[in-house]
Amino acid sequence: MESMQCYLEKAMKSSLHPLGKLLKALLAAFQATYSGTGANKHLLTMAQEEVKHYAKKIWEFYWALLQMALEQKGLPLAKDTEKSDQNAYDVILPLILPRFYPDLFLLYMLYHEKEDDLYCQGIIDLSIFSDTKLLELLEVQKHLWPLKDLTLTTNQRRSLVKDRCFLSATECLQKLMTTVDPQEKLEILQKTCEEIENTVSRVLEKEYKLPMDDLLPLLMYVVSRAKIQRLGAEIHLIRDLMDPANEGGMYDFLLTALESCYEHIQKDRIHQRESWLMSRDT
Amino acid sequence: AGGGGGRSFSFKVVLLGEGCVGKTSLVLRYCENKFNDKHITTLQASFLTKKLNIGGKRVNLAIWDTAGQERFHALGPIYYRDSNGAILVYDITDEDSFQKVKNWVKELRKMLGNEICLCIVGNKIDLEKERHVSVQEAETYAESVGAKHYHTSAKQNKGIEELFLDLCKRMIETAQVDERARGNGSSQSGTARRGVQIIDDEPQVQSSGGCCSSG
Repeated sequence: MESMQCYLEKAMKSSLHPLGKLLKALLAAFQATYSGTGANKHLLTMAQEEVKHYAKKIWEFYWALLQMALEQKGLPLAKDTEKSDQNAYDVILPLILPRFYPDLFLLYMLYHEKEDDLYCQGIIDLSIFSDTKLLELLEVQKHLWPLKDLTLTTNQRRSLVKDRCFLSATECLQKLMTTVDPQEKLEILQKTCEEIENTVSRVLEKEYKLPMDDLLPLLMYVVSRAKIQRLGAEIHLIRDLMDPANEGGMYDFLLTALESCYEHIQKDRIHQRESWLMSRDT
Repeated sequence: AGGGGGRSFSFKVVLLGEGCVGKTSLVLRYCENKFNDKHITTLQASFLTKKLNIGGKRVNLAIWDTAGQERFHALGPIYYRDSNGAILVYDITDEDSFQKVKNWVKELRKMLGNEICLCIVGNKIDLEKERHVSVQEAETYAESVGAKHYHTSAKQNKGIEELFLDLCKRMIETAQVDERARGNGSSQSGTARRGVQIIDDEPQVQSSGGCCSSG
């Protein structure tokens, strides 16, 4: 499996190998259609379907080449797996996606421009709160607060300290922006939630499994601190390009949780500002 | 999600209910009891899976917990879309929590129609003395909305096994009816939607968070 991936990677980079030539031509065609003047959000559905289609076709092409090579050498043919689609997602897509990513992601950005703007403003609103204030605002149960992480210098007050809680989870989630592969992004998301759970377990000094009542507010906390730009575009891209076998599973669940944080940060803006003003006055 | 062909089904079930009704302990009870947890996964209090075999049919159950706080209510549709079943839990000693269940039922029927199997669950029957929601009222209500009613105690592990088994049977039934209705298509044709989709610029008023439909 690994050697196959390595081989495919090399083949696609080569300007002489048929796969390399094919990929180069596909990229040129894709860019001619979807970048520059073609960069229109209404073409998003088509563009992402097209990239997935390339992955499937390239797998089929590779498979056919492999069979031919085996036949010529008089070796027994490799068994045709029924997992052809799965291989397209697991093996091919991570290899070809980096080439298409900049143009494709631009379409997602255009598609979610308005929501991402709202979300950004929401994030800015939340960024003025100190750690304890934000935890309070999100109604995180008090006994789950990592107060020990709020190390204070002499002239600081606990209620004013910022960006100290759930740092490991926040830093983990920020890696979302630096990856391309949807599978990798999903793993980052899972790791983020695990980090949240680890921090809480450390606070409680025992292993604690978070039910959604606790996990969701904490994830919102981490999302608002991670300040990921274009989160709406990120979520949509992951959902479109992840292996469909994930649907209904753990990764789907986590992605949905992330999406709900994104929605909440957009919609709860006004509410938050009001309650903040109220609490300031009292 | 839907049922697949043959004898294997994958179902998504959402867990809804107010904060302190014990919905999480209900599911934890169900999933931890058998097969002495050899694979301990993280986050197993918010997303749980269970494999069942019902009359030769393999069922993969994925149970999605939701946050019960009122302020997150508007996020519901993001979680319950594409689900095959919903478990709506209330606390029999808390009338308010039963009212919340009624609100969920209304919303689910409006958004998902009769496709979704609803279970209304009165939890904490170990506190029978403090009951504030009468058995009759709850059962009559459930019947009137085409849901099934169950009495459980997460604390004493009562009624939970039955609840899930029954729900699975009903979901299988629904999936099979659905399959027949679609005509025996050997594989669900994943209707590749090619071509340009023109989508209105206006944000959709429906609360389903239109941006990320799994299309």
